[in-house]
Amino acid sequence: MTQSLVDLLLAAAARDLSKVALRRKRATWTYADLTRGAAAAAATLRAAGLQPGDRVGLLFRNCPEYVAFFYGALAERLAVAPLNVQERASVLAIQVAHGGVRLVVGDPEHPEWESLREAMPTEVQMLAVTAHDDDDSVATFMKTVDARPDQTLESPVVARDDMAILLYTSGTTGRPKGVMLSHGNLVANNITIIEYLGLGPHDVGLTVMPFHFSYGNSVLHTHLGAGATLLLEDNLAYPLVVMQRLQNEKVTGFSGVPSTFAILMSRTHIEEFDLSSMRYLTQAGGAMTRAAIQRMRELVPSARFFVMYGQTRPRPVSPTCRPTG
Amino acid sequence: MSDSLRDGVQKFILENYLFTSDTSALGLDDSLLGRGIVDSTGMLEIIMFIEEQLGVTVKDEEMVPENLDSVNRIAAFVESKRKAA
Repeated sequence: MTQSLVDLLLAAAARDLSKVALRRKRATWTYADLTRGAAAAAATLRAAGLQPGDRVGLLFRNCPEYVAFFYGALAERLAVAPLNVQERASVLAIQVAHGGVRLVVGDPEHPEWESLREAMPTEVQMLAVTAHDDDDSVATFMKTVDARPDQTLESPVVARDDMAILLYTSGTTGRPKGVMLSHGNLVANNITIIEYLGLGPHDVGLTVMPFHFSYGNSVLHTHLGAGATLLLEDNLAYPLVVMQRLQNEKVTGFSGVPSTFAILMSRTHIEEFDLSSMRYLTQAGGAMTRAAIQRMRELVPSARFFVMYGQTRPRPVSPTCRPTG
Repeated sequence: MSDSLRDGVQKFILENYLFTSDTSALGLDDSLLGRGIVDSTGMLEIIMFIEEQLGVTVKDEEMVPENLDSVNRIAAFVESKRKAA
């Protein structure tokens, strides 16, 4: 039977339901919360009239609510179009129309939310789900969606080539292109990366890359597939805050694009932080100079440094240069 | 706090990130990150603006939300740095 990311999540959850899956500020979701939230999100999408094969857009910053809807959509055999939270409504509306998206689920606090409603074709539905950073985040979410006690997240029956994600590129070489990634793509990518990074329940990753970016998407699902904990940030606007979090939460893995590492090296004193828990650093999304990689390796000697090539289009897998040291 | 300093900061952010001169588009206490107005590159541009246009050096350890996450916080931070100089 063809697997989907839902199967990988369910397997991880079955190993330890009480394990923390995601944390954003004070919002903490265990694997039990996440699978329950995804089941309720699936019921909500079904109640909205979506049918298998339909596309659903998600417009959220990096938050657990996004993840619940992502897995809920896959469980319903829908394809997810993760939308760029930094994009303007006029551009998002073009992608929504081009991608045949039937429903956009998003945070109504998003500055473009109302403009998007006006810019999109009228037949596209919108569903507002506010993302919360507080202790009650799970309970608040469950009240927002169609949650019932008897719900469980079900593994979807899918074909390997069925589309799971419709991911728009940044449009560096022209108009953003919608890239169709299949369940087979995503599962192969996940299993490969989990294996070569040696990801497992002992890991605590931290991501600053948005989920609508294929690399951020990959970081999210590999950590969940491995039963690890992932700490969510949106960006590196405050490098010191990120460095403190890497130290204080004993983070074992961190991923970035070349500018992520450039900002950390130029705007913080990495050597002054205790990063001895760090086991792996990964880099993709552009060429990083040999000198910069060497400098990072010296600054964080406990970590292996993986250079990945993870563009959206040549998926299924992120090839990598395995470190020899 | 000097109004001209605050107005200058607000004008810079409005023009460069929100592409408008309508001051109602940005509250003085609005979170720049929370509202998705700036990202990490945008924050580096704000630092450059503070350093080059306002003449205040931002140390690495001062790049924290308490100093930079709203128009009022940036203006207060710049003012306190000028007084300390």
